Amino acid sequence: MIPSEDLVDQFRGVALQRLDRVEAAWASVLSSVDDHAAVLIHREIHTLKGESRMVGFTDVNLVCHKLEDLLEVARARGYAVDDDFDLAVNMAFRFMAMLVRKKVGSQLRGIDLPGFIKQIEGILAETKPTPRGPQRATGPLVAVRRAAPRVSLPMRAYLAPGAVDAFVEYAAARGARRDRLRVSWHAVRDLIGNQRAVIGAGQLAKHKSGALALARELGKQVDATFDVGTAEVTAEMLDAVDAAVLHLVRNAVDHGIETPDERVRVGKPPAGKIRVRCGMVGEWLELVIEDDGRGVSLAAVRERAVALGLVTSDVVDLGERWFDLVCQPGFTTRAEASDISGRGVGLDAVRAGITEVGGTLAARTADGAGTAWTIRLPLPELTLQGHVFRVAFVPFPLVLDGSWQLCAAPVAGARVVDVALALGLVEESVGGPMHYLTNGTMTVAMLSDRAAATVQARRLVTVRAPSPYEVITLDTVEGLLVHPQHLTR
Amino acid sequence: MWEPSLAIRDLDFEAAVELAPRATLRLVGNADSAICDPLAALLTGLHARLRAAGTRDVVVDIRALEFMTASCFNTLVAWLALITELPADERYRVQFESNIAIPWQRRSLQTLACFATDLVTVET
Repeated sequence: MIPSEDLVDQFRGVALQRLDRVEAAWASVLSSVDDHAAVLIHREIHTLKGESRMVGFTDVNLVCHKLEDLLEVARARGYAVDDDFDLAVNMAFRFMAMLVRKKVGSQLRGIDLPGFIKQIEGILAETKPTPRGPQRATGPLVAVRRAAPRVSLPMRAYLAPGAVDAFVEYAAARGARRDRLRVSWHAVRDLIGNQRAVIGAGQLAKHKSGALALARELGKQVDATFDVGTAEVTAEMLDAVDAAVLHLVRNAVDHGIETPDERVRVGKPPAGKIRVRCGMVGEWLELVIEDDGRGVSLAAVRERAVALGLVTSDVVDLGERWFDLVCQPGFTTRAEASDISGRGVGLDAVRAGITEVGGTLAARTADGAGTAWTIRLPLPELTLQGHVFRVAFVPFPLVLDGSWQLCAAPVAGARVVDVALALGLVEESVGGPMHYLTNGTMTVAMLSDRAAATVQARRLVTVRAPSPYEVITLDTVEGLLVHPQHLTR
Repeated sequence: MWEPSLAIRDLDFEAAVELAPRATLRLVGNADSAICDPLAALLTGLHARLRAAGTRDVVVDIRALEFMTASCFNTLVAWLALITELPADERYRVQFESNIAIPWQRRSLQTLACFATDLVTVET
């Protein structure tokens, strides 16, 4: 049914008023988080979408639909959007106003609706938010593909404060300078930024098939069980775990598990058992690799250690020292190296790799009953819940972590800090409504027009305490995580 | 000949208009929010002068425009809307001369061209 001319005229008038309100609300929500304005935008656009469909303005309906997608992304980011995104939203408003003004049913002469929709879809594709959900990722393992060479953890720690400053300089810059600094910041970020990876059954499965193949090659029978949960780790941790499982499983097959004949002779089933367990224990990732083989020959370790001068011949019982000895570079009890093992470069590499990412390696062994290796890695806090603020003249979001609780007023006598000023992000206090937060021992104030929104942030460049800030991302928007307790101004 | 009455000279931004031999609007520097109102006024004035002169083509040279806020860019959109609302025989075409080395220009101008493909061309 063709709508009456009166109805169309009425639609035009109402739609243009809606667009004026939405445009003003959008400006408001960007300059100062305004919950009322944010609600208004979504409601008005959704209403306009329905109305335009009713009166046959299908092109307006389509742009509304795409604009809602953009607005969802913006909402997910706490309205911390970049210039390109802001421009796309503004142009969508203007585009719709133009479509509303044209005569119903008339051709879109000169107006490239598909082209405009394609531009919005391009921005949506680049800014698609990451799914929100549990802090620990689940599902198949996703190994990180590294795009840039990486540097050691100590070097990363050394470079991190400079990297954060580089981010601030880039984010605050404009024009050609911003473009130039973006290149520098991205280069540093790719070099030292946290890269997430998920460890899980998919990643370690290759070591199971490798163990079975090696067992066949050695004429052994192995029953390998991998019980692996999923956990979010850094790319470096994933590499360390991967290398550890490789070495320890091969060691178990080669050194630990006896041949079927030997096993039967000592009353064991012909097939040896290797069990790999990996999961989260509190704040740790624990990986246990155990076998029911012959165990480490402490007598052979002692003999070799004495021969190498690592222990004196009067030491009869190595006690717990056996573990340190077998992890020494070049230490092996094998008389000759094979293409599988015996060069003494496995366990020291495992321990070094695990230690480098902050973990520990331990072992217990029992003569004739097998060996168990335990790796413990501190689970990295790559994501965190926090409060996001948009502060005038600071072109990126500021986040305080969840240990800070919003409070109505500062605690009497508490130090009040204008965070943006203290960080040197603005030259003078810009004023505006204060939002107070306390961590139980101190109170700080964020000078922001907007109330805080709760967000999940991802740590991008972590700086060791007592740094006042580090770089985080909210979906794809980069910002600063502020630690007010370390501010000195 | 540059038109002194159609010009903006700010600390970090300049706009200048030349009506002959070829109508040209040149924007240079960083157009932040403070520029929006002066730029909107300049474009309104330019629109009137171009209509009065019966000009058919105008060049907007933004090769040295390093940055423009969304609100400022909206003034260009509004200017285009003014042109599209003219009777067909009074409309004039707008040719943007852009700088491919400045990333924001590419997407912004592509989107802007969608408003009036028969009136807007983008040169790099």
